[in-house]
Amino acid sequence: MRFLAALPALFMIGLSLLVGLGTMGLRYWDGVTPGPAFFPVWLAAAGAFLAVILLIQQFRGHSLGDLDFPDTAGFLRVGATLAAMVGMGLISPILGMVPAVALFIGFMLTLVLRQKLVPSLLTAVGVAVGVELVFVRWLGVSLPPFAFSF
Amino acid sequence: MTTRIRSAGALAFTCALSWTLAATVPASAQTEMRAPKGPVEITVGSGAGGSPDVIMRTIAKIMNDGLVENPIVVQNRTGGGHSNAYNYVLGKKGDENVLLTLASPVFTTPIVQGTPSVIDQVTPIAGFVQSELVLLTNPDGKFNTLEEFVAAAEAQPGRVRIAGGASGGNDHLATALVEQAADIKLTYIPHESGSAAQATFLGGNVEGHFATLAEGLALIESGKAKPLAILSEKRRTEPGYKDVPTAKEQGVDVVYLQFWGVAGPPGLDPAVAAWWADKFQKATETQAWKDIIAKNLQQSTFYGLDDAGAYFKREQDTFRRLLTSVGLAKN
Amino acid sequence: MTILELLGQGFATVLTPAGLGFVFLGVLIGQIVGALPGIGPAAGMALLLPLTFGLDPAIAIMMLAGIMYGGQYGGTLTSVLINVPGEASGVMTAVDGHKLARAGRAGTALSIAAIGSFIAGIGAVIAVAFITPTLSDFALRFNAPEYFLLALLGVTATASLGASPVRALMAGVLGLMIALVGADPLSGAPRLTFDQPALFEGIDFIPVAIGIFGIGEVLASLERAQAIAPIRTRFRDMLPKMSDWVATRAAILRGGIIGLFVGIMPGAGASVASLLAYLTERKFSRHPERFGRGALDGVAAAEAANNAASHGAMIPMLALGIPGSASTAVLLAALILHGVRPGPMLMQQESTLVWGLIASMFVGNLFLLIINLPLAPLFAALLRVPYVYLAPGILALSLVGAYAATLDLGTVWMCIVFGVLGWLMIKFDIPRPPLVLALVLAPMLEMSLRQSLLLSFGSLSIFVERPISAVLLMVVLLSLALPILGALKRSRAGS
Repeated sequence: MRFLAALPALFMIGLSLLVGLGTMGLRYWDGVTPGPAFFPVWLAAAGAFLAVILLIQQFRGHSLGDLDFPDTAGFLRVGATLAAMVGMGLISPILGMVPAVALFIGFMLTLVLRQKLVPSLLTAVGVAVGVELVFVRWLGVSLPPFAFSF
Repeated sequence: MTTRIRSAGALAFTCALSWTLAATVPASAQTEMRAPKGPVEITVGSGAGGSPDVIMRTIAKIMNDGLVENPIVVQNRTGGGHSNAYNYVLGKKGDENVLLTLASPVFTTPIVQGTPSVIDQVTPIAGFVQSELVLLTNPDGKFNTLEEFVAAAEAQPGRVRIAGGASGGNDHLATALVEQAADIKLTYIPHESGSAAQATFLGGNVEGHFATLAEGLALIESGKAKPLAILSEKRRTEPGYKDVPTAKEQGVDVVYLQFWGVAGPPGLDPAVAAWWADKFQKATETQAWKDIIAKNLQQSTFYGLDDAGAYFKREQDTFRRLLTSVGLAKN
Repeated sequence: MTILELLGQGFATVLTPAGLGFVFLGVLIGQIVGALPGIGPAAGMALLLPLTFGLDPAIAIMMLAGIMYGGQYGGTLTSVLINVPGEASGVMTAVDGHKLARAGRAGTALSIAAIGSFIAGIGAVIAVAFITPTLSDFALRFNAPEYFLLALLGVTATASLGASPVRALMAGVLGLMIALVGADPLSGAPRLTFDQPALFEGIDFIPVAIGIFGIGEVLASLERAQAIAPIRTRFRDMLPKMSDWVATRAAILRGGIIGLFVGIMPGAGASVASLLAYLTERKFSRHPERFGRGALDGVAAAEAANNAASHGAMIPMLALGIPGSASTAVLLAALILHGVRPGPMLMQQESTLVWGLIASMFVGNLFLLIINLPLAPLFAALLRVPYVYLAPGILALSLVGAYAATLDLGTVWMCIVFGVLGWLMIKFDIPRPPLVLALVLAPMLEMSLRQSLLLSFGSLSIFVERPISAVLLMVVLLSLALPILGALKRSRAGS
């Protein structure tokens, strides 16, 4: 559990390195003003400094944070939800975004959250129709349409 | 935009020639024309309220008032220095229902990012609005003419400050041109937007600021700014500007025109492109459009199809040269 | 003509069937659009702009302005009910508002937010009507050095937005790092873009906020799908009690004043206003420990500030033609499209339009109060829908809203990535508001420091020579020194 608690600080150290190294080629000072590398350098330093302080605090047993991880089923549900969102993004350009919304909600309610079939499908259709009415018909936002014509 | 440095007289001559050509020969004369079917989207890379957005919404409104039956929708695909907009249109090869708004970022973003030119790929349709810039200074400041402004910068290089929009934008390039033409060094202070730069100028923090003529007139009339020079070929005739000399008259040979136009996706059917060029030309001939141009103190020289293509390519070369000179160009 | 006469003339324009009808329509649309994730008031105004083309310019501008401040009221709904701030100015509302909703007091939070927004809005409109020229001159005295110090104050203050300052600051630094991505605003040099053209203009606020708050929140809740009971809302908890009003009226007043002053500065905006108002309120509060756990006065201050700021942004727009916010920029565009030229002469040349607009803001705010007060309990009752049914809908709407903001699928992917980050931040107990606020403040912080030094040719004395800047510098130094001194005193007392 100690190692897990240290992850945010380790992540921050990694990110600070990335920011520092990623902006190495840029100028630190540019004529009379700070250059494009000025802020990244100081931010990387601040990030690393804060991370080290957090690590020291944690080593002494303080500020471990209120870690709260779900059980396996919970993890699976989060993973499935993420996969469903990615899926919605992938099928939007093909089937159109409005059908993708319906499929996403239908999938989530029936398979991931195990709700009853009829109310789930009704919700899916209802939200999709709402999106169509508000975003497409009313606001005139051009959401990705169905890609095939007959 | 038409830009010249002292040595580039020949270019100006060809420009002037193509202006007259474009104005006399209707773009529609050479090719057959065919209307697209269904609603048409005009893609704009700026947010709502930016100049390209306002221009396209205005002309779309005029065209839908009897000239064009297809409903025209203006969509803002913002972000990436217009690259979201042009990449969208570049991906729609041959699509007859989408048009791209051409504004300077469509030219400069690929040069700055080192990506392939957009204007070499799309189907040019028309260039139809241009806008001049006026250099302003504080009403109670020490400068009364551009000569005094230049002299001050010569005496103390870098001590004369200009507040303008984003790095690599029109104000920045105009500043670079003035620096080159007068052989001086100015301090250019970029801002996140033109209006932020205007706030810096109105607060009396800097000596100079470029504005479009309409913005400038409002500031001059209310006594919040004093005009130094118009960066155009000849003086404007409107009462507010007829006494404002051009930069050329004051020995700084700079002409800078912002311009906007429209293009179709790559591989657009020439007949559809010709139809659009014809419609845009007709729209610019309406009284409604002329009134708006007069009100905004803009110009509306029309370039259609091939003329537009040649015009845009020339401007692209100018952008590349200027961006290289300010150290921003990647290709 | 005196101001009162002009204002009377303005009311004559508004108090017609057409005037009232379109102002009502405007605020209603604003209320709805503001509640959609991704589509804030500015985008909503832009999308509905073409609908106003047939109208009289004065009526069109009144309606569009209605969308603008109506959107501030509407944004409160999503912030409080589902912890998804539709735009940056709603972040501080979400912090305590959603905690209150969780405790079954969503109705109270929404009602107090509406009352606070109304009072601050009306106060700001009075300022617009009577002291616009004075305030616009004041706004112009604010420039790069002052913006830098203001942003610095905001960034350092994020340290206090969490139980542990180190964790909060880490989140703030993360936000500042995210803001680095993209072309450097001054030199145009690409930073951390890894040659991806999509990253060139940087990472937009909208997908980050939707991801970190909305999606992160839903993911964390879905871990225990079966266990989530609908939030219990009892009817008598839905309406604010007299004691709630007494507890928040000072917060509304202070928040409104801060909001107005921050709002009139073209470079700051409603998000900075609500952050500063929230932090000020915690200083004044008799129970600062409640902030972050569901403090009604925190919600009141933040909401009063962002509505006052959104009205205050009208001042530089009307007096100078300089938009103070994204929404006023669209309003300016609408003026141009309707053939009215904005600029310093607007108030003289178009006095009917300007005074009609000002009068319409009194009326519009009243409409919004009337819409929101009775509906607050109704909206709060939305939480009675079982969460399992709400969750997929929130996710789908978030993604559609993110897409609609840019019409680019890249924004959707960005949203999902930040959703995962938001979820991890919840799991690892890193507070999320500092990240989002730092992201908003970062460009202001960096740009204005560099602009300041360009203005002063490299001399740091610019920060002490300008009077407002000198005062702000003192405030920044004090805000840094006081907690450190306090900590030293405590540790000495402890040892």
